[in-house]
Amino acid sequence: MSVKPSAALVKSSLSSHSWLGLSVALLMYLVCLSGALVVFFEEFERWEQPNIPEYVDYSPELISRAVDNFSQRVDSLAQSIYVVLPTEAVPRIHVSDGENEWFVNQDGSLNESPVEGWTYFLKELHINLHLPKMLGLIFVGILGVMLCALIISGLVAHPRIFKDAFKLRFGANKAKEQADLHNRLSVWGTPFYFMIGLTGAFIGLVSIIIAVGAFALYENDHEAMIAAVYGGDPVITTEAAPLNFKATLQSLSQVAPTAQPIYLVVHNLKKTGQFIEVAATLPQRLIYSEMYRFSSDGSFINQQGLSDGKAGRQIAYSVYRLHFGHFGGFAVKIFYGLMGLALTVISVTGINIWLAKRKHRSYLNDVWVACVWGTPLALSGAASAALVGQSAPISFLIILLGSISCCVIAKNEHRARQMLLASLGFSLLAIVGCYTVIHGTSDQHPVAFMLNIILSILGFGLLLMTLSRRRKYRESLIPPEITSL
Amino acid sequence: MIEFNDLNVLAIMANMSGVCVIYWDWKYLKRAQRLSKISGWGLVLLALYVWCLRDGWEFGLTFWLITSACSAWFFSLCDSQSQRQQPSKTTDKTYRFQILSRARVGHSLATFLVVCVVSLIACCFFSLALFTLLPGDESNNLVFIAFLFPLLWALASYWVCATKRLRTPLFSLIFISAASSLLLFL
Repeated sequence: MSVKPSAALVKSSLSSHSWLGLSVALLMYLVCLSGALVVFFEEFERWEQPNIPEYVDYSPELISRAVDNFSQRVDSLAQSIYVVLPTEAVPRIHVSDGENEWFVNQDGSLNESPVEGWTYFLKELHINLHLPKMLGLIFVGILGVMLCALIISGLVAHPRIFKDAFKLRFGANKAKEQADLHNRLSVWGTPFYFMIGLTGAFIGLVSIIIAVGAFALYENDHEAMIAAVYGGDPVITTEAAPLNFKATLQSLSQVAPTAQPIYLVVHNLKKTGQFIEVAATLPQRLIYSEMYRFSSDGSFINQQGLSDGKAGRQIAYSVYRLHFGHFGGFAVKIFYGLMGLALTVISVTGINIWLAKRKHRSYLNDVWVACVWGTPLALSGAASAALVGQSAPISFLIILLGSISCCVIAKNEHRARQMLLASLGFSLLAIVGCYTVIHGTSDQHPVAFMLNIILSILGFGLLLMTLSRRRKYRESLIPPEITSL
Repeated sequence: MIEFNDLNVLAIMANMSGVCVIYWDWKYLKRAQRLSKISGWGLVLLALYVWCLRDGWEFGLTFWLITSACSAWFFSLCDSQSQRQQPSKTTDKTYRFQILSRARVGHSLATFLVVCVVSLIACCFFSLALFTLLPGDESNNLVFIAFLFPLLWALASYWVCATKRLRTPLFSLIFISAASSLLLFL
């Protein structure tokens, strides 16, 4: 039995692949590029606010003082207060109620609030494209669906998948080069991209299933449907008592000796039904955390069963780490970043193939070059703007629209690409310059120092590459009989 | 945490050498030797086993997917026949201001609506209707349909965009929506 698809199926799949790809190319590119960068959001946050005290050792007394200081600082107490504990990736404590948030000093006093700067802008760009929260999340979820559709149609449309398994022809011909790059990067990364697409679609679209499912099957009770998957909150009726974080952490180490607490939540602070929840990661598990519940005096109530409950619950709670690559340390982050960049290149080369196959050029060629190279330029411009206190989203939009206008007016893709690449190089160096002026050169935060070095290398590298490409382009324009003289 | 210990190195070596054998078979044996194929894929599967042994199956499977892809890209890159870059030929093409015909715009809009609205409703209703019929645990079934819904939507989008006549998928999806909603709401 042959599993080779018929020529008609291949043709229609290719048409479907093109249609889907062209429809979502730009948004897919934005989400993939921002996703590849957002993997490192913890490092970017530390870079952006380097003066926050960093420590991994904390005491229960520190948590207690932080919660007390927080409750004194806010006007009214929210239903839940979160104390996010330090990890190796982010050795900082911050306390929040969802509306107010402050970092915590080593003596338990409150420091400054986290800034909503460039990292925040980048996260929002990836999660909801800066659209209204829920709408944007669904929109990005739809892109996850489209990624899965592109993968399925791409696989069916590629009958030479095994024959061309390693074929990569650089410099042969624009269309062939782009097609090879597109196919090699996509075929070998298919399982990974499929996982990213499906988990992204799950995160984005689960609200639709909950809304329709709750209406049809749970008498419009959203909480009941969510509780059916994740489990409900414990019912506590006792009066509020002084919080004992020391006993809580001791109980946790007895109940789950290998658990690593990442944050704790005080529910109904100083009210009836007060209890503490500790979220903790478990070794070799992808679940975001297990939730351990304790009463105010630290005695263990129960655990949510995210690590040992029903398979569905465990799977549903594993999609976040799996999608964002936040497990297994920094090496995994680097690989996730690389895979994200590969998916970004696939989005770009897909459109490049389509453009190269066309018999004529149009404004679409210029707009595409502007979007591809203007987006990183706009992102870096937004970073500089955020550093000097300007709005990152507005700067991003202005630079991107400016790039598109310039490229459409210039009507020369090659020159436009060189111009944008050079601008990107200068812009990356400008970020380092701004950062150094604001935060100084001496006693720089190690993460900030490393990031600035990387940005400088990238900036200089891009400038050198632009110069070399320009020379090559000029040489290639000289007729062969002159170069042979 | 990824640390370089013996199992880690063994997993990476098995992954790399497995992909290397598959590449060798592809490049020089033209995929004709069964032995090389079996040994190549065997080594790649061995890498999966070692990764899972070291980090558990959840982390292990993810590490294996990433390292397999990276190994394959490495050998593709090694194989790439680098030639001198040719100047871009885009300037040779004539520049045209393209205006899409009304029929084409209409068809594109209709396809877009069927993909984004009709498929969404059909797949969402079908998944939930299936949930009411599935035996077994409620929690597991809910998570299953939460994953099934985007997957079905992806397949429906592929189908809608692949077909020349939009009517067939449109009516099929409307029928699925109607049948599922009957099951859900009545």
